[in-house]
Parts: sequence; C-alpha cells; structure tokens
Amino acid sequence: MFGALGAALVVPQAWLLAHAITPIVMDQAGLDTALPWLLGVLPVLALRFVITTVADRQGLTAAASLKSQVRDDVVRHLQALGPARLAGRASGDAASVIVEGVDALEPYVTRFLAHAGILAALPLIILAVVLPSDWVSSIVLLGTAPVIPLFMVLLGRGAEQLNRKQWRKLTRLSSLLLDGLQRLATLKALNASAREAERLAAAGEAYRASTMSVLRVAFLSSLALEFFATVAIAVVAVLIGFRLLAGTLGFEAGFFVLLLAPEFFAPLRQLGVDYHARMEAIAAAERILDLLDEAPEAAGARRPTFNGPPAIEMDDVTFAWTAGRPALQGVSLRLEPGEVTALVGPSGAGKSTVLSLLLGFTQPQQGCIRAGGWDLADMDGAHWMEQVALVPQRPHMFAGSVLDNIRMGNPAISRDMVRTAAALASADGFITALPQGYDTPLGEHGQSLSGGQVQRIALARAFLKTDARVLVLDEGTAGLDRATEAAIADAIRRLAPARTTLLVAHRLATVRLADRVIFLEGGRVVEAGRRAALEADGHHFANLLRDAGLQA
Amino acid sequence: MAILRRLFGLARPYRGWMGLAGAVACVTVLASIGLMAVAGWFIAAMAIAGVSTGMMNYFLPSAAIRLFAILRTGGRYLERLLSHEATFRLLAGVRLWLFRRLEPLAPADLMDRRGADLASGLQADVETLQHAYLRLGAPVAVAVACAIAVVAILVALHPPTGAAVGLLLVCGGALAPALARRAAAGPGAQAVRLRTELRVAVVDALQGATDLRAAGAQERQRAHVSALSMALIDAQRRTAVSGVLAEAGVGLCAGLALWSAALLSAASVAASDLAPAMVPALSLAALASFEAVAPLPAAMQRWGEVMAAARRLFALADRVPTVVPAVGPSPVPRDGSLEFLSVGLRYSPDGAPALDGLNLVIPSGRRVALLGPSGAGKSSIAKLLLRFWDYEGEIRLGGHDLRLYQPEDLRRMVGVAAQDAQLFNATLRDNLLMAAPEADDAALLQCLALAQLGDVVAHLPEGLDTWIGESGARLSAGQARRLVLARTLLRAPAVLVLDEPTENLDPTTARRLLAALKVATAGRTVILITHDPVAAETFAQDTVRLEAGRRVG
Repeated sequence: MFGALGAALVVPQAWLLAHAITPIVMDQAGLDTALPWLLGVLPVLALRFVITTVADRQGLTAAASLKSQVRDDVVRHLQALGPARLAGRASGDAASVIVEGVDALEPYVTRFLAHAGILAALPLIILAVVLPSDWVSSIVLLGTAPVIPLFMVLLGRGAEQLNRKQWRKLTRLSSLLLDGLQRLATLKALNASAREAERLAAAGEAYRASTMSVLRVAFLSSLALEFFATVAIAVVAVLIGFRLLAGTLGFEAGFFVLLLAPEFFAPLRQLGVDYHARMEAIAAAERILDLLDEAPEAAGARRPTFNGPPAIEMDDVTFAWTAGRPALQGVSLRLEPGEVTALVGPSGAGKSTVLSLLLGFTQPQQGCIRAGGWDLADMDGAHWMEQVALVPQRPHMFAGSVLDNIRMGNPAISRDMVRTAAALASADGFITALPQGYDTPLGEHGQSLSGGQVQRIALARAFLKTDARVLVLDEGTAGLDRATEAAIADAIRRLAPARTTLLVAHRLATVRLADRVIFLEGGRVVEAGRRAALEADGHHFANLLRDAGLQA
Repeated sequence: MAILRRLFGLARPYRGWMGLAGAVACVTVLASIGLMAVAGWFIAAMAIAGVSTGMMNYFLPSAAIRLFAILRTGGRYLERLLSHEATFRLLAGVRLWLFRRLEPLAPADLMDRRGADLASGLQADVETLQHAYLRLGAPVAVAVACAIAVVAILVALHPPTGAAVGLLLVCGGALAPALARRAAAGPGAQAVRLRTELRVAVVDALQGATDLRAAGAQERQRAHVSALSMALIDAQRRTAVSGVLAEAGVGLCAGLALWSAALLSAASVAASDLAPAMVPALSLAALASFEAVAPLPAAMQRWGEVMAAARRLFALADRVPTVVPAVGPSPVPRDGSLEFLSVGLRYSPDGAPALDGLNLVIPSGRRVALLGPSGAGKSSIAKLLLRFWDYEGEIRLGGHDLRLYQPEDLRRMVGVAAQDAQLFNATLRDNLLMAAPEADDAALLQCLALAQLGDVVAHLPEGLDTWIGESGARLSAGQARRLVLARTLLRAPAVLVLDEPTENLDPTTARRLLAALKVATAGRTVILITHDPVAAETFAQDTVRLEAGRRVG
C-alpha cells in the first residue's frame, strides 16, 4: 500500500501545478504569483521519489524471503522423498528449477503484485478528487472504469491460457535446441545433423506461426484497454474544452483533471507490460509444484539400540515402483548376523529394489522388513542409517576437498582419522599423489577420479562408520581395476565379522567373498543357500557362473 | 563494440521487420506525446476564448486529438505484433545459426580442458539473446529516436523548455541507468558466482542423497544449500536496489521536466514572449515525453547479461574445427580392411596420450576384439574412425588414407555403437529412424531382435511407438545400450565398432547377444571393444590387447 501512497502523490502535484499555471494562462500574471505554488511541487516530487523507492525495496525484501522459503522447502521435500525416489528424476532439471525457477518468482512479487496494489487504489483516489471539481469528467472516467476489472479478468483468463500454452511451447523449443547440441556427436556419427537442422528450422517456424496467430488475438485485449484509455483521455479533453469555451468550467479545474486523466489508466497499462514477468513466474511455479508433487512416505520414530549385528529379514514383501508393475513379489529372505550374504541375479531382477527397501529408502506395499526384530516401517530412517555402513553403486563426489568428501563435512572427524580410514580402504596412496593431497578439490569443478578411486573413497567413508552394525556393498556395474577389487575384498574381510553384511553382486566380482547367496529373478527369490552348496548343485546360480565364465 | 556489431549482423536478415516495428513504436510514443500536448493547448485556448471573444476554430485541434488517439491505440497493437514477429524470426534464425556453427566443432572442439561439454552450458545464453531484441534493442532504439524527435520539436516551439527536457531525458534515460548499472556490477558478478555454487550444492544434495543419508549428513548439506541461497538472494537484492533507484529516478526526472516546462514557459509568457496557451501544452508534452525513456532502466539492467551471453556464444561459435574435412571427392574403398600405422592421439596438449604409436592391421571381414583396462585407448579408436578427432600417424580404410574421405561418406561406411551414444526423447521408432530415415518397420524389428530387444518391444503395449523418455530414461541401462546397438546395425555399415555391447547385461543375455551378432555381422569388419575376456573369446577371431594407448598382445 506504500506504493499506492507514492502514486497518489500525483494528486497534490497536479493540484499545485494547475493552481500555479492558471493565473499565468488566464490573466497573463507575473511569474511571482506562480512561483510559490511551483516551488511547492518540488517537495512533493522528492517525497514521491522517496516513498516509491522505499515501497520497491519492501517488495524486494518480500520477494527475497519468499524465494528463500520456497527454495528451502523444495530441497527439504526432495530430501524427504529419499534417494530411491530421487533417482528417477533428472537432477540437472530439478537444480534448474530450484535455482533459476525460484528466481523467476521475484518479478511477480516486485512488479506484478506491487503494480496490482497501485491499480486497486489509484483510480479510486483520482475519481474521488475529480468528482467535486468536474462531475462530467468523472462520469467519463467512471464509464470506462468497469472496463478495468473486466480486462483484469480477460488478461487473467482467456488470453492468458493461450499465452501460457505458447510459453510452455517456447520452453520446449529451447530444449529441442539443447537436445540437438548435446547430441551433436551422435547425430554426426549417424550422418543425421543436416536432418536435425531442418527439424530445428521447421520447429522454429511452426512455433512462430502458431504463436503469432495466438498473439494476434491475445493482444486484442490490450488493444481494447489502450483504446478505452486513449478515448477516455480524448473525450475528457474535448468535453473540458467545450465547457471552458461555454464558460461553465474554470480552467484550473479543467487542467487539474486533464493532468490526472492519464494517471487514471497508467497502472493498468503498466500491468499489461508486466505480463511477461507474470508468465515466467507462472511457468516457474508450475515446475516448482511438479517437484513437490510426490508426497514422501510416512516415517517411523523408534530408535532402538542394537547391541550386536542384527538379523535382517524380509517377510513376504511385495513392492512396485509404479502401480501394476511389481518389482518384487512375495520376497522372503534372511541375512544372518555376522555373515556375508550376496544378492545375485540378472539385471532387472529386483536387486536394487531389495537394497532400497532394506536401507529404508522406501517401504513395501505388502509384507514387512525386520532388523533385529524391529519393523523398519516403525523405525526412524536416520537412526537406521546410523547402523549401516554403505558403499553405494555410484558414490557421489561432492564439491569440496578429498578430506571433506571422506568425512562428509563432519568437523568432528579429524584429519588423522580420515587418513587411517583412507589407508584401510587402500586410498591413501593415490590421494597423497594428487596435486594437493587431501586438500585437492573434487566434484563438478574439481579433480576427476577414476571409477575405482571413487569406490575406494566410498570405502573410506564406510570405514569411518566404526559403530555400524550392518555393512552394505552395492557393487559398481562398471568394471573395476585390480587394486580396487583387492581393496574391496580386504575391506569385507576386515569389516564383516562384527556385522551383518549384504553384497549386491551385479557383476559377480565380489560373490566369492560371500558365505550365502540369494538368487533373485523376475522379482522373486528362486534360490537361496550356502554359496558352496549352490555352486555345486544350484541350478540358477551355477548357470550364471558358467555364463560369466567363472566356473572352472 | 565488436560484439554489438556482430549482434547486429545476426539480426540483419530481420532488419526489415525490426525497423518496421521500431518505426511503429516511435509513431505510437510520439502520438501519445502529441495527444497530451494538443489536449493541453486545446483546453487553454478554449478557456481563453471562453472569457474573451467566445469564438474559436476547434475543428482542427479536436481532429488532431482524434488522430493522435487512433495512432496511439492502433500503433501499440501493431507494434507489439511486429516486434514479436521480428523476435520469433530472429529466435529461429539464431538457433539454426548456432546449430550450424557448432556442428563442425563437435565433439573435439566443444570441450573444455577437463573434457566437459560446453554446448550444454549454452541454453541460458541462447535464451538471454533471443530476448535481447524485444527487451533491450527495441526499447533503446525507440527511446533514442523518440527523445531526439521530441527535443527537436520542443526546441522549435520554445528553446528553454526543449533544453531542459533534453537534459532531463538524458539524466533519466541514460545517466540514471548507467549509474545503476555501475552500482550493480559488483553484486551482479557475485550473484553469477553464487548461482553456480548454489547449483553445484543442489546437484550434490540430490545426486549424493544416498551418500548423505548414509553419513547422516543431509541436514549439513541442506544448511549449506540454504546458506548459499541466502547469500545469492542478498546479492540479487543489492543488484535490484540500484535498479529500483534508477526507475524512481526516471519518475523524478519526469516530474522535474513537467515542473521546469511549467516554470520556463510561464516565465516566457510573463515576459510576453510566448502564447499563454503554450504553458499547459509544453508542460504536458514534457511529462509525456518520458514515456519514451521509461523502459530504459529495466532494459539497461539486461545490458551486461546480454553482452556476456553474446560474448560466450561468439567465442564458442568462432572456434576453428581441428578436424579439417577432405577437399576432393572420397576415394572408392577397395574393401573393409583397416590399418593403423603408428597412430597417436592426445585429447589435450598437456594430457597423457590416449593412443601412443598404435600399429594394427585388420583384414576385411575379420572380427577382432580389443581388450584392455579402462583408459587403454579402446574407445578412442572408434572416435578416430568417425573423424571426431585429429590424430598423428596414418589410418587406412579400404586401402586409402582416412583423411581423404569426406566425413559423410566415411560415416556411411563406419558404424559405431558408442558407449556414450545418446538416445533422443522420442519414440523407439524415431530413435531408430535417426540412423536410416527410409527403413521400414520390418527392418526395425529385425534389428531390435538382433539386439535381443525383440521380446522387450513385443511386450510393450505401444510397441515401436513407445516413448523412451529423456535420454532413454524409461529404458534400463542395458536396454538403452542395446537400442544404440540396434540403431547402428540398421545402417548396415561395412565396418562396425561395438563398444562394450554387453555392459550392464546379465551373463546369460550377454552370451545370447554375442551369438546373434556373430551370425549377423558375418563378412563385415567388426571391432568388439570389451574388458571381458570371455566375451572376446566367444565373439572374435582375433584378440588384441591395449594398455596405455599401445598394443601389448
């Protein structure tokens, strides 16, 4: 409302000017009669400047807190969804929404909302001051006034619907170009880049044609708005002129009204200009809401103490990522405390799903999972993860030093502890050989590491979790070098005895370290037992080893 | 300035549309000013006539008012249509221009020192540039033209008012935005840096969710993101404050113009140098003339952004391709044989060699397996055969130097199912037709069956019309790999390079796939790149081992 106050200062400004000029125009009076009134305009101008800037700053502050809040909420929400459900999303897209998308909300607050506030107040104020001095003009303004809310609605509905659709098309058009550019090598290899250029040109031309046909209609609403504003000003001027000629109106009142007439329509015209800001904000808001679409699962609260390695059981578990396509069907299995169990099976058998469920990243739709007798669904997810040392399939390297990557930013872990863990993971050697040793930056803009080195950093992370009662090793799908394979074998030998260990053996590289094997196929357990026994006469497992060339 | 000139060069084909849109915009603004000025003069003249003679020819001024009203109304509509037309034409043109400029550069010359793809960073720049005309170029050009016209007319009518309004137009339209831009430079640069950092932190929080959860570090990462977000928002707020001041500054200048016009014209009237009716006319004209420069502060705020985007795009588009295509027509290959004679390759001048004096002869129609650890240079061979990178030494295909073939002809002969080959966000069919636009469904299904995807496709309700998602996201990693393979097979090239086709496959499917490929590729030269000795043994007639870019067996 501060903004409206600043805008309303146009009223005293117009009154002072009209009052100053009248004797000069009508009576050819000297400048000294006008000067005091003219000088009075200056403080009004200054005040208007001050109030406008203060109001706009307030808008900026409001936008800042909105952006900060939305960003925090979205990040919190996505984290709550859990890694398993995040994996299906393109994190680059999500990051664009969280960074640039949230930024696009600002002009909506600072421009559109602020100007809408002025629009609500200023025409009424002007009407109120014009009415006593010139009722004819106020009827003209009043006659066009209902047009204002009408066009607010028009701008807000019909045309905007079309505009939004076009806006989305434009976004899609940008992604078409990006698609083409990112896949240039592939296009060239297929001799398809000329065809792609044609496709791009056709898409651009189609977009232009369809958008222009929409805009020709969409701009009609602003044409009508402009028409009413202009006609109203012209009619006001002409009617004032004739009454002045007839002597039924004073010049001062007439000039005062004429000064205010454009201001009556100014906020509305401004709002028409702001429609881009609104469009961008709406598109961004839609993408933000898309991110918030999926609700996180209800979390348990129990925090039981585990005194030794727990037995972990899945009891008749059925689970589907998307309804109607079950990834697991009636799976029952048991990980014995203190033993190493390997999960094997063809790709798509459900190994990663079992892992997500056991880690508490998601919950089964049927059946239950127990660790040390406690139902995972009732347990606090973070508390359960505290019990687990995990080496994921594709460990992530964060922006930060090697040191911070191993201790995951936990300042309570000292450099010596990190070095010890790295040494146990056979990582100390290559880390000290890096340009800045443990202080070498990693992540997107830092040093890149080989797949094996990344695995060993993840092993070092796992070694730091000395209290963990469970060890989970999700074998990478890419081939590992010998040093890393040895490091993993060594780590399992060290860590396994006091823990319940699960190996997810996608490539069978670690399967020989297991005491027991569970064979999964098509979302069901088809074989389970001691490894030695299954190697000897297990139908599925023995076949798999033979196909992989591992059976002598 | 050079960048500005090149931007104009890009816009050149659309200068007709742009000029027309600009001219109409000027007419609109000037009509708006004229409307107010004539209205002011009209009421004053009528008032004076009313108290003196009671006689006045009001037909001319009221006709002028009507004319200006029509010009302003119609002009605004027409101007918006024309400027959008120009923008969309420019937009399509710039995209195509960029695509065609970058195409010869891919992939070797579109990478930074660390091997990251530069093209993917362009999207924001292209978007910035496509709005440059509508939101920067047009407002500035129209403002300058209208300001000059208005000041000229005002000077003719009343020189002191003209001078004052001219001065204030410069203050409000040029000085205030320039000062604001300067004040915003520091926090603006800070915001750009913080935005990159924030993006990295957000991607870390999402992609590293598993690791963060395992380490109990989710809260820590969220706090990190939140702190960066606050810092960014603060820098943006400081940038925006100077913009706010500039905009309010324009308003202040407009008020001062109105005020000085009133004062100066009143003084002239008092001195009997000016007709009294000119006082409201000049005052209203002075006020209305700021309609021309009102969009400037917002436009100037985009200046730095647009120039930076243009600089980055031009820098990339100006790169000279390191792989020079052959001049004459391609030689006719004798057969499908391949010879590598002391071939060397480095991806960056200071990096380790990817291939280091490789010697290898593959007779036509032979199946050869390339074995070796990752980083041994296996995949580099495929890139050289497609002429994606330049190399030292000599490669001969069918008895002729590889460099003598036109790239398009070469790529018709050599098919590579690359590890990093990408799929398109389209249907299965469209992804396959990318390779051979004229292939029929029977051919597509045959290749899919070869790639062991026959059953998969048969079970899809929409079959070949199934949408495979962004980069094939709706397929498993193994399926995506096999779709790439099917796409390569569809083109039936004489020389085939299969890069790790069994990656992400379970051993059983892998065995079947290799058996099928063995039959289907009989008679063609095939290089199988693999790390898996079992696969090599099953498939190939010869096995070659690479290590550190050299042949070791």
